[in-house]
Amino acid sequence: MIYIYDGTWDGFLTAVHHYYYDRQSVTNIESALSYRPNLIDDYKNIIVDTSRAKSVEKAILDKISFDSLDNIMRCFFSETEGREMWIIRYIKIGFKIGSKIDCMLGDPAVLDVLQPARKVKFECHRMLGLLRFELLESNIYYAKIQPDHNIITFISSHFKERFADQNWVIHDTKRSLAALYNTKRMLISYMNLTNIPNLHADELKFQSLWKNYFKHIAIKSRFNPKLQKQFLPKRYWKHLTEKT
Amino acid sequence: MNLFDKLGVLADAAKYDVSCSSSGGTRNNKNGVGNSHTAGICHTWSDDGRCVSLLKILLSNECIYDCVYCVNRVSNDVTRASFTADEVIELTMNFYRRNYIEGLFLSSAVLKNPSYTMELMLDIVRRLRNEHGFYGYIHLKGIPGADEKLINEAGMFVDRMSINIELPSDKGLEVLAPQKPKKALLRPMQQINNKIIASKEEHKTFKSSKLFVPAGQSTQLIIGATPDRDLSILKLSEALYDNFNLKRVYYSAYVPTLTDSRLPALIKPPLLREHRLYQADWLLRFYGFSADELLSKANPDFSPELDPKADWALRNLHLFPIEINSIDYEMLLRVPGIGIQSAKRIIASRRVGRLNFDNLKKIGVVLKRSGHFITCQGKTYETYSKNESVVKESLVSSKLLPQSKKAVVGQMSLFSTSNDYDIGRNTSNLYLFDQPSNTKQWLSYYDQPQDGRLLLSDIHL
Repeated sequence: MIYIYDGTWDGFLTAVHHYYYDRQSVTNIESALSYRPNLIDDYKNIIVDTSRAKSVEKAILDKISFDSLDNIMRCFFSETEGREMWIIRYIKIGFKIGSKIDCMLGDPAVLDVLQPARKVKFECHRMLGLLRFELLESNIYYAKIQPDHNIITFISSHFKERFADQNWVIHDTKRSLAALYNTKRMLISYMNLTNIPNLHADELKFQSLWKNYFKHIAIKSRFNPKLQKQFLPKRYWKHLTEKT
Repeated sequence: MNLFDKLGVLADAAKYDVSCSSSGGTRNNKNGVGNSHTAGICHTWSDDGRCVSLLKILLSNECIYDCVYCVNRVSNDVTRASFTADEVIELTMNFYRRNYIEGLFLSSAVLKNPSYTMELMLDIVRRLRNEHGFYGYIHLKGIPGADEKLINEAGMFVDRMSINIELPSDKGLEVLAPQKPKKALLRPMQQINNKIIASKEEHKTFKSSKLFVPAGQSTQLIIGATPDRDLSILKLSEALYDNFNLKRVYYSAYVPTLTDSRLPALIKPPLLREHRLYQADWLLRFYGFSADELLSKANPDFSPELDPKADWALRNLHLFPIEINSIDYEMLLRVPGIGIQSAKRIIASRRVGRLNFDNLKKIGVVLKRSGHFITCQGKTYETYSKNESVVKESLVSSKLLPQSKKAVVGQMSLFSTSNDYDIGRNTSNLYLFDQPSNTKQWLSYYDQPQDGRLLLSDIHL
């Protein structure tokens, strides 16, 4: 039996709930976004049920730990293929031994969840620095991102606090996800943003000032493009003002 | 001159200051824009691979001093420019709102006199905080010799303050920075430290009191412009950490921008030496090492092939191997191939079970390096050897081996001052210097006592 869920965190947790209570032998849990139906597989569509999802979340918190819930969530949003069953395996161990699992840092089953979670954490931190806003005509700061992992929910709160007096949009164009903030409230949702306004009259001036600064701050006799690429992989350059 | 060109000139003038971090701040956004991120955030990396976190600029490069090593010295023929306060504020606010930067790093050449310069800088940071509701990170350079009151006031607005010692010995300062008042370097550092301690105390009783320089102070030492040995530089750093509670000492490989008979004729900045000093600096601050353990009078410079920790371990082979499952944290940190993160993970994992080599690998321990120094449940690693030369071979960075396939041309340049890659035979290559033959003055430095605390003796602590 294969469980198909809608690709969301709540959908996945609902599937975990079914996994525990349906008592069927489940071989895989897959997102509808990536699953290709075929004639051989026996599958069941899981319908999101927030109360079931919440109860799973609570069980992880109570029986394992806050750190584990955080790692599981980050692993889930890494969108790494196969993560659903890794998380199931992790939860099974966790329910048996509790918060001790947070110390089992050399255990392969634990690392299956921990390693994607670490990657997500790393990309989140990186994106806090690499995200670039452009000022648009309507006084909205707009940023386009295409991160490896689905990190928008993790990074938005940072910008909400920092740029509390700005209208801003963070747009994950890879996933058609956006975080909108209007100086009072923030909204994160799947949406197709079209009709993005033109750049503000001042925008290009500051972009060129920044590019000029970036050019001058490097010391020629220490030139080291390999080191630069190590910190700043090329896939991020597309949305970096100073690199375009 | 327009803003675009000015920014180019004053970024050029500021780039030899290597301080980059934006960490340690605790400022929250109170109805304005910006806040501090405790760990700091790097926003980009320039073409030399150094991170860009703050908008690092000079307010002005019109200097009255004539320090021999400095590009902005009065007798050097470079384009001169000065920002107005409004220009600095406009750049900072607009760069910050676009998430280009974590904040402002404002430094300046000495315009007219130290206090005048400090006053201009104070005005900018005061206006950023009070008029523009800016809560981002500000790192302000203290101008040596400026009025104490100005430095005290500026400290209430900024997150970090630094005064650069630049030349790591008394003698170096005397010859290369003849006009800089030497005592004026250390006195304000001590003054800042005292204010930080006092304001923390006050903050304990009055929670609403503002903190003075909450992210602490730092300084910079130039490496390779004077013949000071690594030992005296590291000793100086250690003394600065101990006496002034500095957050960071930065090391800046001297970039030959000028020619002068009092300066060494370097072909390239001594980057590997700078790297070794940073490694040692980390060992002082986070690994519990002292300068005397790493270097000695008989051995005053770091090895180009081995990092300081590996070098120490090799000299202390009699302390090893240690048992991973029982040894304490302090000793774990001293094993080559185990860093802070691995050591912490080992300690955590040990609480729930005994570790084997497979677990260690998964944790992130580099067994190629650490294999000679540890046992797991009494067993030694497959490559274990007591033979010093075998151990040494495994510790030498593969990037530095001339024949290595991994060797990359760009990295080679790290340690060679010429096109000579043969470090095995002639390691002194790394550190020096084709001394100009006619400069007795330069060579005579070697006769000076090589003890970093010399400089600190100026102040009675």
